Amino acid sequence: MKKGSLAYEIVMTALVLVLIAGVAGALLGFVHHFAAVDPNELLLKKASAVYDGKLKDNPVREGLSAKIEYENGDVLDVLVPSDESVKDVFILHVKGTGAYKGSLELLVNITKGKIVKIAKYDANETPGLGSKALEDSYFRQYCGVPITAEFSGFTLLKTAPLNETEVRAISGASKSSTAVTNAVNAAVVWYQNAVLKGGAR
Amino acid sequence: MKSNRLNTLTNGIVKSNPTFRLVLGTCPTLAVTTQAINGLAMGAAVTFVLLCSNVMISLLKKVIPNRVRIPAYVVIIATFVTVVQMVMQKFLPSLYDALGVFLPLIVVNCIILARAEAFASCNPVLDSALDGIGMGVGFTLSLTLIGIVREVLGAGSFFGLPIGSLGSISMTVFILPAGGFLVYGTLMAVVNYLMRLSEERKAAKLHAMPHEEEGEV
Repeated sequence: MKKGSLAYEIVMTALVLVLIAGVAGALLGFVHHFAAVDPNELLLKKASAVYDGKLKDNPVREGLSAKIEYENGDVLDVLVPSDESVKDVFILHVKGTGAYKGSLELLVNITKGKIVKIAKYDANETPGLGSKALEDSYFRQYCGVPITAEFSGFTLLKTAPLNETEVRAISGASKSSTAVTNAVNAAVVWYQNAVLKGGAR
Repeated sequence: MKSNRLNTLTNGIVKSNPTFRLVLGTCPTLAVTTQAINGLAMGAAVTFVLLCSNVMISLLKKVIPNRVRIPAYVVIIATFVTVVQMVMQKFLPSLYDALGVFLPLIVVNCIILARAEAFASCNPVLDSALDGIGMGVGFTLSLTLIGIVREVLGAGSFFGLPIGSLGSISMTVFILPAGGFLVYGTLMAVVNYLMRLSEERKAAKLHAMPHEEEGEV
């Protein structure tokens, strides 16, 4: 293979590209070693926003199934306190559809049959508009309502609510309000199935 | 030489500002500037990638074959974008969420590719680094300025901090895409007017100089 020939040029070009890609790959591998995000670690970190105590290291997937039948939302993970003497506390990582950007994810703390705290897990709604449906003042509308086997979930209204199962949507952010309600209702369905009826155990 | 390098550094900040003067990177400019902090973070990410890719491309300009230079540049740029993405996801998860798809899209940001092709591939390493910093700082300042205006008018807050009772009279349109275009266009007009004014003053000064000299003679 002579220097200056077409074959030589092709081989050299390929070699340079392979070399660049190899160095790039090595650099990325090095950075990944330090910056890799463990999903379980991330979940536990974010769950501290809704529960003060220590939670079990791994999301509960065996024995306490996260599966539900609900078309507008889903339960992605269920966390329970590591202290086994603490009973009837469930931290649910839930997803609700219908948000401005598809879906949003929340963390819902259900303690002794009532939602006590809700926090954002992953949502990217418009700041100053949809983001108002992800604030504590909005989440509080869902808290304190007893979840019974007959409870059919929260209903979203554009007017003032008449009872505690009705929630007033944020004006101008009905999509985000709907997605939050769907996510919370997914948590309600899970609690009814897994805890009250024991169907998902 | 020193004055040339200073020019290279400041060129991207004012004279050839990528956002207001060259109208490059419009897509992320309009999309992420709903809050000032998002504009600042996006600008910082682009500055890092610009600096690293300009230096690397300038270093490798004699090694990269001319025929495959664009794929090679894209590989280099994509590497640094992925580094930024991984670091931001680990250490600044809320900003990572806010920037969304526009963070990986820095790979095809026309400012970065344009500087790689037009400047870094034919200039020394130090000049390329200064050009990267200048362009990056210019982009960051523009995005932050647009973000501040949109956030103050649209959400009544400044870098997330509420400004008195401004929140209750805020105009939501400014955080929507239409408001983005409105603010971008207005600021572009102001910057270009000021630039033209400054250029006219400089030209008038230059025009007046020979007469003064003649007077002295």
